[in-house]
Amino acid sequence: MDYILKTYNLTKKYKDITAVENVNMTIKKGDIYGFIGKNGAGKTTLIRMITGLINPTSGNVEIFGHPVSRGNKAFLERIGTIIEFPGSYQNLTARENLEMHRRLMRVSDKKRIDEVLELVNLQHVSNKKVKGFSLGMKQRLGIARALLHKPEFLILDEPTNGLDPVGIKEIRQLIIDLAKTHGITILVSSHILSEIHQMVTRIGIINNGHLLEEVGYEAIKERNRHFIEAKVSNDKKAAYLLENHFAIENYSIIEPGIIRIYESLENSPAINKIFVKNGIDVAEIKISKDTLEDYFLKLTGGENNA
Amino acid sequence: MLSILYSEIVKLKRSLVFIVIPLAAIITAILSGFNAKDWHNALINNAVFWSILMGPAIASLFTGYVFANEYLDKTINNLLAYPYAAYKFFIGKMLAIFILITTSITMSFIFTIIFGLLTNIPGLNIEMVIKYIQFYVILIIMEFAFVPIAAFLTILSKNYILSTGFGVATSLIGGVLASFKLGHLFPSTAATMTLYSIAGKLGFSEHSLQISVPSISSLVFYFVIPLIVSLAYFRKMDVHSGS
Repeated sequence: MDYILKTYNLTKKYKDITAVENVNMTIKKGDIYGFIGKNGAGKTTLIRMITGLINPTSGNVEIFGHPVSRGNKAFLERIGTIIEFPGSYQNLTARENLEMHRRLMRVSDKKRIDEVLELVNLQHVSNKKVKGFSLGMKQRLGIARALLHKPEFLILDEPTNGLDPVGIKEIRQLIIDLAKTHGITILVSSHILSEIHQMVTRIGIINNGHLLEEVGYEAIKERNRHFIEAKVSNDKKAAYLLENHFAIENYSIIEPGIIRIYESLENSPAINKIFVKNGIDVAEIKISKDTLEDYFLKLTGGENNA
Repeated sequence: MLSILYSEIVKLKRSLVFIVIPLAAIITAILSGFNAKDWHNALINNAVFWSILMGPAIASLFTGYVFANEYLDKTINNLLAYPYAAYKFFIGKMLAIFILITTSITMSFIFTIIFGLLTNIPGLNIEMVIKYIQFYVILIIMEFAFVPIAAFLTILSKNYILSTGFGVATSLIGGVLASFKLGHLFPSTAATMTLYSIAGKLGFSEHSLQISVPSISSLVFYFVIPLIVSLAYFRKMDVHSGS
């Protein structure tokens, strides 16, 4: 399998604070990798280490099969980045910012600037100073800059920051298009899971500097599945009835008195009827969706940021 | 390297430095040309204004601006994520600052001549102008000695307040220290005394001040040591945007 990025026990410590600890991350070619974590979880620190902006305390990074070091920056020719902020020179116009980038990245095709401006829908303001841009426009300019040299691997750190819902949707669609049409592998970080989970093919969840889990698209779908949730007076008896009356095996008792059934969703009235008929009080029965958001909150133990 | 230098110059577009340069040049030209008895008086006064007063402050301000802008515009992450060694950007920035200092002092030299011609100072000839160009080239090189310390302070603090403060303090202290025993080792005083010595050697002034090796050595020290330290720090530092 072709890996674009691999990290090995990547750790960053600042005096007594461990920002990132023993992270083993893998990004395969073609992935849209959603990197999720609360603010301060260690996402940007990890991205800085990946791009060689900060030195790891220990561990290694491998990009395109080659180890990353500050002495060897050739790999950056194949990468496009937005790291923490979509930094642009405020006194310059959007076009001037991109022209500078074009020269530094040795892109000979001058038309490429118009192409990326059009891609992010900034062609009408290309000759305006960035100083007057909204945060959303600056984000889009940052993406244009990251794409200008046709990178194979795109690292977007919180690209939806400051965008309105329409802007978020546009960026999401743009990321999907870039992966599908141009075959770009993308690492996109966010602290808002709902903004990115619809577009990613894999997810890495980081909390307090630890990479808690990396899951693929199928697992993501699995965690977004629908189920019947019933609040019952006797969960053991309810389980017995599910197995014997309906041959349902895919269920779980998530806490005493609450049972989740992941199959035969269409049978919820019949299930309810059988429960009642067998003397089980049903306080509530409904069809719900297990969101990734719930899973994330459970995993990270917090409800403030996701 | 040319792309890097180009980018550093483009970044200055529409910036404050293009107001500061002519303003500083006009102020020093008027102050030095006002009541000047002859061309030597006007042009040496102008150079001394630069070496002791305007130069340290302006060089530090330019240095602070060029380096701190990357933090203020939050572009430092982008800059150091280019496939170039960090030292190349450092050198590119130093070259841009050198161009700014050169432009300021050259403009000041030209304005002094224009002001002198307007106030009818007699005796200007082409031979004199050529000699003074050489004299001003030395001035430019000496002013550049203030840049590495200012660069280090800016990289460290991620803004230009500290470096500008350093420049202003150097200007103020330099004048006071001139009369002290070891004053000639202070960078702005060392530059001024060296200028007077060169002016004497070139026959511009009646001063017979010997060129002071300790003064020149101190200027070299002020340039080289902070340059090495700043360069090493710029290469090794963890890059944060300053937020």
